[in-house]
Amino acid sequence: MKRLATLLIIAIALAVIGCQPQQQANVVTTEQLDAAKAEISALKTQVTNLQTALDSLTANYNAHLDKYHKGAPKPPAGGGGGGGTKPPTQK
Amino acid sequence: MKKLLTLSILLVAFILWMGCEKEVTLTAPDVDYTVTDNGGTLRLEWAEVADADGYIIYADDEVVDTVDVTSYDATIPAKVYGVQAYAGDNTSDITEIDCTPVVTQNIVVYGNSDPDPNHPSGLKFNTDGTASAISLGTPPNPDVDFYFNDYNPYQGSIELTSPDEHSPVYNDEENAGKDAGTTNFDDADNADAPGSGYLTKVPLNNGAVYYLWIDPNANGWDTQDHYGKMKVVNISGTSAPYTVTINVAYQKIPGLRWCVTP
Repeated sequence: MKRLATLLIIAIALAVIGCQPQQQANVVTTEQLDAAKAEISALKTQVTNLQTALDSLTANYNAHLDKYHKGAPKPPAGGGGGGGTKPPTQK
Repeated sequence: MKKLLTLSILLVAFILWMGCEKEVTLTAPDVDYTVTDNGGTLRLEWAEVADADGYIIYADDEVVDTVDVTSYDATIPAKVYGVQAYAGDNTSDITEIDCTPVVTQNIVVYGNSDPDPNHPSGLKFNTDGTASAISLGTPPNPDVDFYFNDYNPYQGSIELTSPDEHSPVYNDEENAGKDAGTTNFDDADNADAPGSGYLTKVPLNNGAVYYLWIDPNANGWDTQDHYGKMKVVNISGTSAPYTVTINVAYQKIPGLRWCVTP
């Protein structure tokens, strides 16, 4: 009888332990943290590279404007711009 | 002797009859006009003048026709058309319709790439028919009839451009020009008919003459349109911004394509 009671208590204890919510999921391991840090670092590097590329493109664009479109000054103040390059209407 | 007496009596009676013929006073015809044939014809119409045998038609003081009806389709461009009633040797005063275009000379306009606010790039026709260079300002601008585009012309170095070709539009007028095929301002006396190749952007050349078509409703020819011509006296500058000097003639009769000068 005593052995049966002991077994029952052990079974109840195991059931209680088994029903506990898993808290392991919220735990971040050191390895995971290191991996995340590495990923963030890589992304930062990519952003820096993109910024460099954008600066380079902007510089090239401005150089192109200076070289090929210097004869077309900016429209005068007051909206006196051009008529666009669409063909005229024939009538 | 009796025969001679009879003849003498008849002769005297005839002379008296001739001498007593009543002098006819003719009133000048009250002439109205309409423009037809896409602006190529000026139809003159008037009420019948009492006692008139017919009517003499004048173009620039020259007799061009005689009619016995009360209308006349004038198709030869002239500065002044006249209608005169006649009865025998009697004539009325001449009623004239003035078709002389209003000429404005030496207008200086600047290409719209010119940033100087004192250098206007727009052309406006005033109600009295004169033309003025006006500043374009910020769209919209209802006064602009044409502007001179050397900022981004479609063709050539500088273009005469309709205000509705600007983005955003200055106004909704769809005005157009066409090379008249001459460099002599006075030779271009009858603007070409609509549908003959007018363009809303016309590349300008030094010395050339262009017909102008003002179409405020952008609906093709109607009697709210106006025609004229423009001589490019000079285009100065080797690159934009250019300065253009023009002479302009403007037909005040709506829809009429005649522009006879001088």
